[in-house]
Amino acid sequence: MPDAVAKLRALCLALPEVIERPSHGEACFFIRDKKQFVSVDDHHHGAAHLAFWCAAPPGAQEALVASDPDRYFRPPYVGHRGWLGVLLAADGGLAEPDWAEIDEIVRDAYRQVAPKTLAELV
Amino acid sequence: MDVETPQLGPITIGMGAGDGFSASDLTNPRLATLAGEVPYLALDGSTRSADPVLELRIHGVGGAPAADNLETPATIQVAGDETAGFYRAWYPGGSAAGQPRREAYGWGGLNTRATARAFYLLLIAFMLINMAHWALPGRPGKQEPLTNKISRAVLRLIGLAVTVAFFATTVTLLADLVAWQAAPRGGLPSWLGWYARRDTGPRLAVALLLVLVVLGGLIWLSFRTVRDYEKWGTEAFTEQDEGWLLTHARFWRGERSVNRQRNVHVIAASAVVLFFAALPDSSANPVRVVLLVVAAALGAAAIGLAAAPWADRLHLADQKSQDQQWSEVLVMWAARFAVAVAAGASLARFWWRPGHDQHALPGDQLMLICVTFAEFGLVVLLTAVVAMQAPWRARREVMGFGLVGPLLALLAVTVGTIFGTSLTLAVSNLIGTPKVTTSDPKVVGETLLLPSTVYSGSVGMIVAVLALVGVAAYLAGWANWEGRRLGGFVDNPAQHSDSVQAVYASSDRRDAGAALAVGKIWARSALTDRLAGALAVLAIPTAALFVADLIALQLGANPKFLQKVATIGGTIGVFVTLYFLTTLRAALLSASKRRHFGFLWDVGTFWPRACHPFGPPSYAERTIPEVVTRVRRLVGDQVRGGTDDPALAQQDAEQRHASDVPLERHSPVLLTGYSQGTPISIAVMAQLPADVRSRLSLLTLAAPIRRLYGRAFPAYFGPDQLAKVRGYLADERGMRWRNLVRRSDYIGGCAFDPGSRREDHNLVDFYINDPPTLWDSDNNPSPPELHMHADWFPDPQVRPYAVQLANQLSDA
Repeated sequence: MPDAVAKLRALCLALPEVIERPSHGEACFFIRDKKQFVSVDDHHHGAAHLAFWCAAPPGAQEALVASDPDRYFRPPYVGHRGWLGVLLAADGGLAEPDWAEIDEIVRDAYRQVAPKTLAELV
Repeated sequence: MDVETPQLGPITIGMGAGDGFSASDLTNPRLATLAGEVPYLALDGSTRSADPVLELRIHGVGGAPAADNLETPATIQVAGDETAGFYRAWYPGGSAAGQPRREAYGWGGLNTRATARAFYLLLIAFMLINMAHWALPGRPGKQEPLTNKISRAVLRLIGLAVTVAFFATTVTLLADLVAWQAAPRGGLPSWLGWYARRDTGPRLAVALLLVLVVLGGLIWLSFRTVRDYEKWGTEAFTEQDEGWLLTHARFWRGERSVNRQRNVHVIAASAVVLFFAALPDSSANPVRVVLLVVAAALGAAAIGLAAAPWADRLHLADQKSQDQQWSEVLVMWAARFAVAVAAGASLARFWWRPGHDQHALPGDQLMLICVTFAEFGLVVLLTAVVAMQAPWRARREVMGFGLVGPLLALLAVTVGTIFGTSLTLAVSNLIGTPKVTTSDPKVVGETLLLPSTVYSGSVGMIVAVLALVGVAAYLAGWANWEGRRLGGFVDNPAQHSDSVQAVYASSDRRDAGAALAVGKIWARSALTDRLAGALAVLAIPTAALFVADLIALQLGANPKFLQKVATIGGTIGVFVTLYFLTTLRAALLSASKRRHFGFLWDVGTFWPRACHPFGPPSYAERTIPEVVTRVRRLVGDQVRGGTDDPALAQQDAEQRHASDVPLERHSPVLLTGYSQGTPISIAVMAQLPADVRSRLSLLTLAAPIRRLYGRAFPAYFGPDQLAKVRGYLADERGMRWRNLVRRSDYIGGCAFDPGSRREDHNLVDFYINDPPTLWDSDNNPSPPELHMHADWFPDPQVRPYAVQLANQLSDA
């Protein structure tokens, strides 16, 4: 589902001073080319889904995974830092995500990571 | 199955814990499950029902939190206590419907929770002696050869010698350096002025009583840990297999042999103190002679009792009766008597004052030299006894020619000696000007005279440092060469089938850069297989030159060159000791620091204390019975062993809180072990009855079971024993054990040797790729990460195997 990544890219790049650059073999989004806040998980290491991992405010991972475990998950490697995993599509089939909600999640991720002056712009 | 035998009832989620298990866990498993927030298999098969097979995960060293092991942020404890327990996923405020039914066993707290664990850093030598026992190659059993029994007896004597060396060094520090030498020369700090002003007698008395306090501390640690760990039992319901001791019902119950050996070591340590209390010249010489004879008799008794087969852990494990034997009572009273005499003689020195015509504490030099020679001599003897069994015949199935047992013993003795001498040197530098030499009658004035072992220890330190540098350089060079060989890109990859190119079946030249990078990582991970060689190159020259120097010193030879070497080595030793003590202090103050080297205990204290009662306790003596009991509850085993059955006791505890609780149905279990969790899961398999095993599958990830455990401890994790597990888990439903291997893993590996155990290997071992694919390094500047030994649970390549194993169980 390439247009899901395109939509995610549009949401990320709309935020101030965000650039895209590959990292660990996946598309990733950085603030001022330094701080990563979103990374794409396109069947990463052979997983059966298209998703993204992003920074999240404290408690958001617990709350969102509890409320909708089919959509949200604790991502590997970064999950212990409070990051959130969001499924965009699963090989077994999954409803189209709510893009307004994803926009909120991406903005939250940005605010978590961005310097104060930039975070205030969003 | 016998219809007459009562079954265990359904499982209560959150047994005995209406409001959590510890102060940090205030969740209520009962309410959470009633609200449908915990995946469980409802008794009535209602819509909340989840997977018919429960996956039980056991983590590796370092103790990852349950959230990592279950891959979900919120978890809830359903069994166990605040130190170790079983956890499930929890979706607070949401629904668990359709979520995987997984349980995680967390045992990391056993090795990091207690502050006392920091002190175990001082006991590394004791721990290595205990490991050496299980590394002996001879398989114990009813008709075991005499060399087996002798090798274990020699190892127990080495353990005793290490204890004597520990207390002799403590006497050197407290009684010789501080009380006897530094105090009258004004070397002590001013806050100890009250002590320095006393006469020699009271100073000696206080110092020797302090040594007894150290002994008391060790006894307390040993006693408390027996109570906390070694009382757990699986009780007599396994089908014992004479060919595999891990199936023995009482294998993980060690309190009896530890109690007995502790008493023997207490006798020896008391004899050391008594010797130093009685030796200094004074009035009432007949009393001195009597006390010295008593000390010698106690020492001889300790040696005899340690060598006797009654002290053997495996021998004691055979004794069914719980009652103490008369011999155990006798040894216990002998230990009490020894402590009383040593304390009495030390106390008497308050009034019974020695003359102070000797420069150093009489007998210190003699004692240290004797015990050091005894330690190294016994290691040589052990090597000879083990070599008589020709353990190298097992070729690739053993590490270090099958001589890992003697090597670990040598390492223990060397580490203990070098640490003791460095500590002595460090302390003497703080309180005076040390002179390290053989007993030199011309020493006068402010100089502190140190035993000659300290001098040789400094020489040994230099050798150890040089060997370390040499080994590191060699291994780095080898890894580089091997990495180029594995990662090299050729036109005909069929010629070397283990290369990266062949494994990934790549013929695309653009993959060449990635192949080289991956090859170097594979080569570095293969260095683990050179562990025994590296340790041998470190320990053998260090020990040999140390002993040679000590002999030369006793013969009066002391070349100028070696004097210089000893000075430099001593300085290094002092710095290493100070660094070590700083680490110890940090560990005492912070739990996260303790976790930092918790891996040391996770690896070193898996095995029970067989030869040294003062070593750190074995956590497996709790984890294995605990997991065995939990698995039996989960699959709904029958009651065994009558009212003694721990599973029955657990069920009783659950039902005490069982009003209005959600009950879970019994189900088959997929046991998933990761890293250090794999030897635990193999040991659990060995302890389970056959009809319980028929409801289990086994998935082992990053398993050191052959590569490290099998090759270092061949009598317990050898290929024949692992083949038994394979046999347990094979029937018409197919093979229910999968062992997954990454070539980049520096700890884990195959369960069976692809060379000599081809058939077993093909059934059980499966490779997964790390990285999943190669990449074009010119156009992809940021390649995928290699995870090597880490992150196995979330690896998507593992899932299909887990699903397949679960299906094999649920189809039946």
